[in-house]
Amino acid sequence: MPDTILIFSLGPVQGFLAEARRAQDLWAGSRLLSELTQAAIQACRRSGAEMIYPADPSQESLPNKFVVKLPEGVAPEQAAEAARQAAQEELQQRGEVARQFLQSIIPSDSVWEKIWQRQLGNHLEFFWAAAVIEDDYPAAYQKASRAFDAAKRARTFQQVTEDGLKDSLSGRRSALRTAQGDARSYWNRIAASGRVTAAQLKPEGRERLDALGAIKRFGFGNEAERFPSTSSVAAADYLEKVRGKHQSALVAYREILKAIPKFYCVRGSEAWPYDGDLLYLETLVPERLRTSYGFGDADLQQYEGQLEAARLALRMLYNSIGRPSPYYALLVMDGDSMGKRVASCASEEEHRQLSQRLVSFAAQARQIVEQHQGTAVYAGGDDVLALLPLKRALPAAQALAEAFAKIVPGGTASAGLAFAHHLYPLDAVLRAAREAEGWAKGMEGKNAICVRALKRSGEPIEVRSHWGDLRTLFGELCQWFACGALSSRFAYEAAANLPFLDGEPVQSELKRLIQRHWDTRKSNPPDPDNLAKQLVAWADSLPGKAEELTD
Amino acid sequence: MKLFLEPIDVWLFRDGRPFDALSDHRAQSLFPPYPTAMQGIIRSHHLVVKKVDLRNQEAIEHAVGTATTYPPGFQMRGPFLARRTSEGVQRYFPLPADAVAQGDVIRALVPSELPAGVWSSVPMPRLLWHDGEPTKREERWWLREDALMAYLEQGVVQIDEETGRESRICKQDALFQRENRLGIGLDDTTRTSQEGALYEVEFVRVVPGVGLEVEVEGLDGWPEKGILRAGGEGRGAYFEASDAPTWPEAPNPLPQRFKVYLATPAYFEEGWKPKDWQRFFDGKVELMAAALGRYESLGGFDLATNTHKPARRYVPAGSVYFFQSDGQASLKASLVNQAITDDGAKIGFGQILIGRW
Repeated sequence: MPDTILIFSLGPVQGFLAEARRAQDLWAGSRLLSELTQAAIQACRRSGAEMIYPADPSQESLPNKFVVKLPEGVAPEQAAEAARQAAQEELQQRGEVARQFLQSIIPSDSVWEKIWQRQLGNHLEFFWAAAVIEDDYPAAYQKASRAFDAAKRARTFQQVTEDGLKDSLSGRRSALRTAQGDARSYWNRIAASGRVTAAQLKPEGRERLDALGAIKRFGFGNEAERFPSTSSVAAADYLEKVRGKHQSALVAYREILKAIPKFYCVRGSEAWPYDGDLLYLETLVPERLRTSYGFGDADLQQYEGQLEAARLALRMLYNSIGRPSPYYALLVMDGDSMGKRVASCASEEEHRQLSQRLVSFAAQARQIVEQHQGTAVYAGGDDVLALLPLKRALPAAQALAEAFAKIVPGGTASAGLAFAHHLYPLDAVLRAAREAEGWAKGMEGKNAICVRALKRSGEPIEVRSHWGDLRTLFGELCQWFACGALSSRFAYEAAANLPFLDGEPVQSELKRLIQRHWDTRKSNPPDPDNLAKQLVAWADSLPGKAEELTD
Repeated sequence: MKLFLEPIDVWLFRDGRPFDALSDHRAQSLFPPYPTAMQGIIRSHHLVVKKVDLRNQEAIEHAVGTATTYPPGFQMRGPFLARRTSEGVQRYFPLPADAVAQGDVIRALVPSELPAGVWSSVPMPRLLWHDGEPTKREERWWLREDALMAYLEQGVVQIDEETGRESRICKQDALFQRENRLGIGLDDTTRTSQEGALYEVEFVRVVPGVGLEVEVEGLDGWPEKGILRAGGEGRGAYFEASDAPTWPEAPNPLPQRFKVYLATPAYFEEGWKPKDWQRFFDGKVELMAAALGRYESLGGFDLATNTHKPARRYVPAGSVYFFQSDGQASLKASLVNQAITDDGAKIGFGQILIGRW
């Protein structure tokens, strides 16, 4: 039998990523998925498979779908079965870390074991397809790819009953517990053991985990804790600004925090070793101190003086430099029409080259995100998932899209950005970013971005545009808003008034608003007639008008 | 009786995930709701209709039974998404999982044998092979009953130009939208907001004229129209008698190559399938292929015992099973509601429509 192409995927991606309440959960889920894929790939390679996609299986992030070439004599069913088993074993092994940790606090029993094994054994799903390479690689790839799509249409699953209190990440599976009491009391005991921080697990049984949630929280030692929280990301550019000019005010605040042992350090940095949420005054209220830092009534009493001093020091910092933005951005990006691009590869070599280019893109994507004070949750294949400070999000997204177009000849990428409060439920933010990406891809020719702003009240707002249009007029607008030349009221009033106007009055109203909200002390005003005209032309050129978006 | 329910404001049908403000949780809406939610709504209102004293447990049970044992003769079909049109109430169904959109038609894939030199993980004799450009399944389309029946019968249906209220095939947003609202938990004693008790609730806002259609048997004495409580937060609904078409009965005998479209979710002992398909059919049938949506976990909260109900996995509505028979097979006459499901047939799970391939 000649060589065969095997396409293999494992999931559910949704379950690994979306079941997240914290940035660390998202990171751990993504990491776990990469590890499982890697185990599956290694199993295939042991039977002699050659990598086609991804080009480098030792990358930090791996896509959940891979393509290999199996040599003559290796049956695809056997290779796929080996890959499946390897992924299952890897899950058990990663699980073992979490299990050992939990058992060192509360010994497990048969009730606990049953839940654990049921959940690890029934979570993963696998799809694969293979085709013989007769003489033509593209034809064989196409066959395998169609069979793979067909396999995904038949989403078979086992029946599983999950009883008792559900876990707090998925809400669908039984939270782990022993025969002694319910899940709430089990997780209360774990949280109160003194071995976990309130950041790892909310106290009083408020967070209850199933086997997969337990792996996310305790399967990676303190590696996950080093991944910055949404609060840290939201405050990242603020912190940078503080360090430059107001270091002493920060030091004063930090020294007060040091005297309160409940505030644990999350990273090695001497300048600011704490989580970013301690840069927000709202964190220093009793209820948040209880849930996020495990303060009890006694602690609140004992440290009353220090806490008051901390609040004062933080206010001093605010007085000298302002407050950090409570909002951050979650970015979801991937290449446009990658399926078609891969299918159009004329040879195995070309497919490999494309895979290689994606490896370079992923490496560069991490750098770009870091340059913008952000953190990549995932950068592999043509996908990027990253957390970014609000102000750096759009420039970062643009830089990523440009890098993609440069590295993948003729390729374009589209992105969804969700702007959200740092305490907003993360799974909802992820969903919003995914939806935004979908709207971006809904634009003619894709190659676009959609931003979805999740405010703390009212309906979300979304805007989409092709990348090119962002650089010109929109970029200028942002600068005017940023330097205060144009009051933000301009945008609010325009949004409130313009929908009721049509034709020439739109331009007149815009002109009036520009004149009214322009601060000549900050910058010389542009010609309002001309600017109003440009704005109207720009708005008309946008393919996604408001009603189209909600369509 | 057949009822058509329209919301007074927005609706909230929780998806059964536990929810409390202090866990900064998010409540998502299932829509249309599962039969389990609907039977609760109907049975609760029946107590109002019958003016049952709610302190009298015995009287309650006599009128509507319990959540697991229903009064004799009680049976439900649905709920289905439906819209009031110039021709009366029309039911809408999710796009079948075997469908692909090609230009201005929606076409059904036909199970085919694996070509030589091809292997796949599909544990069935055939698979749904698509020769055209790879398409992502468009999950947000809904088909009016006549369009769905045409699709099931002929394997293809035209997406017509017609838009607006009378569209036979429409995107989800033309029927309902999801709306997120943020809330903050209140301290009951002081009526002030609780720190950190942020939560988000997803409501469903239906387009005017859209609602839910449900068929109920075994409860009598209902007025022609009225108002009842439906779903989370005690939101209300207008109801009136529905003039939707009679539910299509399965052909007898079944076509030689027939497919089963799930119009409501189904529960099976082995997850995606029952232990034995013959439990639903007279005459020999063989499963050849299936197009399935992602399973949904359904549990919920049991107010009576203050605990989470067991969560189980359901095959979602829109899934399609392909069978081959000798041309003499038929649905077993003993099936409750003609339903194909291992549980909940009485209250509307496993409702099917039959097509051919």
